[in-house]
Amino acid sequence: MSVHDLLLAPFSYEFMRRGLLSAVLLGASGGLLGCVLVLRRLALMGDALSHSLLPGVAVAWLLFGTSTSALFFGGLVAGLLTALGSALLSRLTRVKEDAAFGSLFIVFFGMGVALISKLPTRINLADFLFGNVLGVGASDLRLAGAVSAGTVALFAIFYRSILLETFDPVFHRATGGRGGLVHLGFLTLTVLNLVAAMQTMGIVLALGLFLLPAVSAYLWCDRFISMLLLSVGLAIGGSVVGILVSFHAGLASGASIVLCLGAAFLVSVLFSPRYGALRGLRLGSARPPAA
Amino acid sequence: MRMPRLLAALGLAAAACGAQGAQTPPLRVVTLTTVLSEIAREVGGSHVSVVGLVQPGVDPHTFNPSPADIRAVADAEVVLASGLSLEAYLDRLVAGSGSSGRVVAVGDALPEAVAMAGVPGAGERDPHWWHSLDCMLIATDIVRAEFAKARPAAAADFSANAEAYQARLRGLKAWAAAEIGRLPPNRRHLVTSHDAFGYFARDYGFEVHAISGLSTDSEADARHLAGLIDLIRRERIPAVFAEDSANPRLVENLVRETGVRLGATLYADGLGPPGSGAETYDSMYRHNVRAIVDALSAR
Repeated sequence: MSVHDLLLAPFSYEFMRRGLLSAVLLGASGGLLGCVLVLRRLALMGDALSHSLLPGVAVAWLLFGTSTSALFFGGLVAGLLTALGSALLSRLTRVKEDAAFGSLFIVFFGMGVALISKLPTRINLADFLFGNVLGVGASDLRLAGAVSAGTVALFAIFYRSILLETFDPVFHRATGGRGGLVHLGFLTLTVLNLVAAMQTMGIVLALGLFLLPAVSAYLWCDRFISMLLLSVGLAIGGSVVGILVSFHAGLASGASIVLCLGAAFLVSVLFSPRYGALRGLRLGSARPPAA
Repeated sequence: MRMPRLLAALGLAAAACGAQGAQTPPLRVVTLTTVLSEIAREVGGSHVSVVGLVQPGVDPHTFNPSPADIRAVADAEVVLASGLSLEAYLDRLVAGSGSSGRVVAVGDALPEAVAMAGVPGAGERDPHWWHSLDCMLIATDIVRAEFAKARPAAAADFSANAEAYQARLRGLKAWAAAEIGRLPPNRRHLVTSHDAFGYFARDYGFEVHAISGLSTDSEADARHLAGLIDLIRRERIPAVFAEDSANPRLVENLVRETGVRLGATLYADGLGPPGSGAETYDSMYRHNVRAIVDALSAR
């Protein structure tokens, strides 16, 4: 097999180019967002948020059918209700935010499962969880492009606030930073990116694209900016390799991208020179310092 | 939706009792697909009350029974399932309900002569037997025999009803054969969302090229999709089809990439909802045949 057959021929198909482009676009914004989620210990919150989108999508499908914008807004409403609802619960009641999140997302996910199992929608759980990166349409691409560009722009504009709020929220707030607003902004951005990714990739792949590159980058980098860049690079590289593996090996495409990102994570976990498991074992019980 | 129908059936039964004195109550039948509901109602007539658990438009591959469904199964005297592993939940449902009723997996009872062999290598068998009219004719007989066993007194009525229904199925078969006869054999390629039309293809000499496998659950891969695109171009296949209970995204991408026509949406996994024009077996089958012939015969 020549280099052309291996790397270029698969992309003579339009669906391959579309799938790749949408993965690259969302990988760029997800790679950025993932770093903040990982550093602020919100990784599991992303997982919770993603599941809570289901009832919104199901209701939107029932009311408006397959239109991309309807599904987008359905998911957005459900995700924001979960995020804002748990923020509100944690302020008004004794319940802490993580518990509020954990409870709300389960209720939402349950509602979604009940809806799609009883109502005649053309969504099934497998589509929602794993999507299909080979079914990306023109409107999906426009959506992914807009969300990705918006996320990257916001990171560029508010880089300083994000940096401060991520590493030293107390200092940030003491110096007049709007910490609550930045936090809410993160939640909204996460929901936006998840919803944009959900329709084409499903939420599992979307989370893989957000978290795996960020965790891997965390194991190699000490500076925030280099972690951001490496994370985006890994997300994009993993998407390209994953789609090619899917093409040549005949594997499901979403799973194949996640597995490539997972391989990068595994390599990082084992071989990272300063924070990897092998080094940890060599040094005995001494815990590697945190970044 | 289910309750009024049940009440109506009870009302009917009460009326029948009034007319004929102390009579046996209607046979309680639960069905797991919309097609079997129709067969049961047609064959059973006023002697049975039919509760269909899977509503039209709901994907039977991924259906999940609710407690109310389990209770209906527990009460049933006869449970009609499609069989051939379409209802992956069947064993759990029956065991969980503690039903003492008779469970008939109609597809499993089909004789070798009309049933399709397993997919080579996979060992899976195609559960979509109702797309073959020969299977429908035999399925009607299977249901008739089960009903007659449960209510021997009404056996003559069941036979008469079954024969009337089978006569209509034969009429449909003749119509379909004539209709598809208009399509030259080299046009008989069926590109669909999932592999649901194996029986249809066997009966009318089509070749099926499905995007995903026998269940709507299986996911397509890039190489397979690329192969389909090459095939559509090579064989100059004029149209592809989406299905009513499957996500149409991949089919839409095939259309965009190859410029083929998108045929009318096919009913792959059961009857259509009220108002769809495919709410009976006859109208569902005619819809599918017309959609396929129209889309594939156009230049």
